[in-house]
Amino acid sequence: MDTFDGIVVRLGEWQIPIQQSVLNWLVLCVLFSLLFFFVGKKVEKADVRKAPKGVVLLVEIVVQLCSNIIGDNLKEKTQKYLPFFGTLTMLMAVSNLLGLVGLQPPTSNLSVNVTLAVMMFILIQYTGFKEKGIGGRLKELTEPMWLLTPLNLIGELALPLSLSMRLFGNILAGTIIMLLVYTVMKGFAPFGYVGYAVTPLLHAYIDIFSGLIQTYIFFTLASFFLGQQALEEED
Amino acid sequence: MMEFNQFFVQGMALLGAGIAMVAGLGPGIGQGIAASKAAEAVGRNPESAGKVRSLMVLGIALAETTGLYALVVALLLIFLKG
Repeated sequence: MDTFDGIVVRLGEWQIPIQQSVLNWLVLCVLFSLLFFFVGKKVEKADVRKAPKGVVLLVEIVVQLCSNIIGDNLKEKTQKYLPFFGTLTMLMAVSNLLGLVGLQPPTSNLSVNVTLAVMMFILIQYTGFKEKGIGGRLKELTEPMWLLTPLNLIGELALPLSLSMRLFGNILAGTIIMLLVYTVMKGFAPFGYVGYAVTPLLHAYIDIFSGLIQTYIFFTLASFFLGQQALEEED
Repeated sequence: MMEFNQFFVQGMALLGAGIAMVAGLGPGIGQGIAASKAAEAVGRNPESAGKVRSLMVLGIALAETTGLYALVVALLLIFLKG
């Protein structure tokens, strides 16, 4: 299997290397925007009174799944945040599954994960300041006593770190294990084909199970912390 | 007299990567506890098997996080210094 490292964009003297994982992410973004555009047109034309079928039915199931992920944490505000979370959920699920076709999953690149996690962090902080006011949010950081403010600040900053590192570690570990298995198979040339008995199981666990679980956890945690800021606390 | 050359640094970095992976102990114990408690819960109330399973998977994947931090550290040591 030839490895494809990526492309280099040349702008005069500047050389910008784009790694394969980032390239995959960009291609996925373009494909998904085209898909959303055309499917959106189809959904608009669909008759509400009839039972959905074909593409519309499939899309309804996917959207229902996405809203189930964040629904427990965001309660009545689910509809407001569903477009943002749903789009990212679909993108991340597909990008975690890319390992199945031998491409590098974009989420095995730390820059993609950190971008996603920082987006979530900014959204959560913005919502907190908007819903509770600057004073209320700052007061919340000094609770239960002002001595604990540094700890609270660290707690807030730990969220993007843990979100990005969890995803990165899981997907990168999977990619490396698959790469090792395939390298060993290549090394023992004729006998290496025995390895094909193991690789489907490994792919099933690492790419499908682990990848989808990590997607679920990423957005469950992000929406949980968002829900803490966006919803009024009930006593 | 000991020499602190690049081979020393490499060796120590690889050793450090090995030591970092000792952190795999924690998640192993934690996941075992989670799975045993889930089995107990299902034994007491078999109708709740579906709910317990999804909760257990979520908890296990969360407990894995600390082990993954150690893995990231080990990988950084191997690829940057090894």
